[in-house]
Amino acid sequence: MPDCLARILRPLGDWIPAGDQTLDEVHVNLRQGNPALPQSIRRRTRWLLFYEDYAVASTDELFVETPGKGPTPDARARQLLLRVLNPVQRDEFSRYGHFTVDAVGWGRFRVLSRTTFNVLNTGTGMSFCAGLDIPVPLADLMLAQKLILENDPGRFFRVANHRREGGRCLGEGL
Amino acid sequence: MKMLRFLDSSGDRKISFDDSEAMAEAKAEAQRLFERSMAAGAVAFSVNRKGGGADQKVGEFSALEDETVVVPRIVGG
Repeated sequence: MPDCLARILRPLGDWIPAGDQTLDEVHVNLRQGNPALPQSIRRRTRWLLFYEDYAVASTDELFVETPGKGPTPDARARQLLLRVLNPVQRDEFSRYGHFTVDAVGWGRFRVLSRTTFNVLNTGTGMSFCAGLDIPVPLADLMLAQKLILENDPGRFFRVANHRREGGRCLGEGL
Repeated sequence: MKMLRFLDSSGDRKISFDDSEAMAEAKAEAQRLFERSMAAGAVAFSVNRKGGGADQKVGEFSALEDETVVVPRIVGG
């Protein structure tokens, strides 16, 4: 179970029926959509489960090099991303396939290994979608999003489409 | 030696140059591509800076540090 999910569930412990359940058991119940769980918990954790579905535990298979042909574009992009991520982000990306950035004045965001709506506000569950105007490997997209969110977030949020996970698209820009 | 990395479909296009006469052509090519990219809406960031400084947005070719990543124009997805 992701740490972030555990952090949300722990304070809600009193609300969880059968209080002797471990958090992992609660996690399984959430995954299975157990109706016995209070709606408040299901609502609060819905977006976390959503991103968990898309988080790639290991992205290595996306970046396989072709023998004798040098690094593929995906491999080159991944190498560059790893060079630029800070140590905490690098560790997070290596473990989970995503990393977290702080956008000053906007909040904390998780950049997921997917091409659409892959920037997730960890506080609100709102996800954002903005890409580049030329096709690039996924790791390049994630790098671009990191650099812009950390250094010029207004540029990102001016153009990004956004939606609440599990809900409808809310429109372009903020 | 300075390095410009332009993100593209190949991963990135890398151009290295310095202020020496031998690298004048590479520097001119780097400047041309940099300015053309910026005019098209790209944004550049100094990364892996000396002393472990945080990444920084950079707008002028003359202000480039050792390693710069040029990100093409960002658009709503």
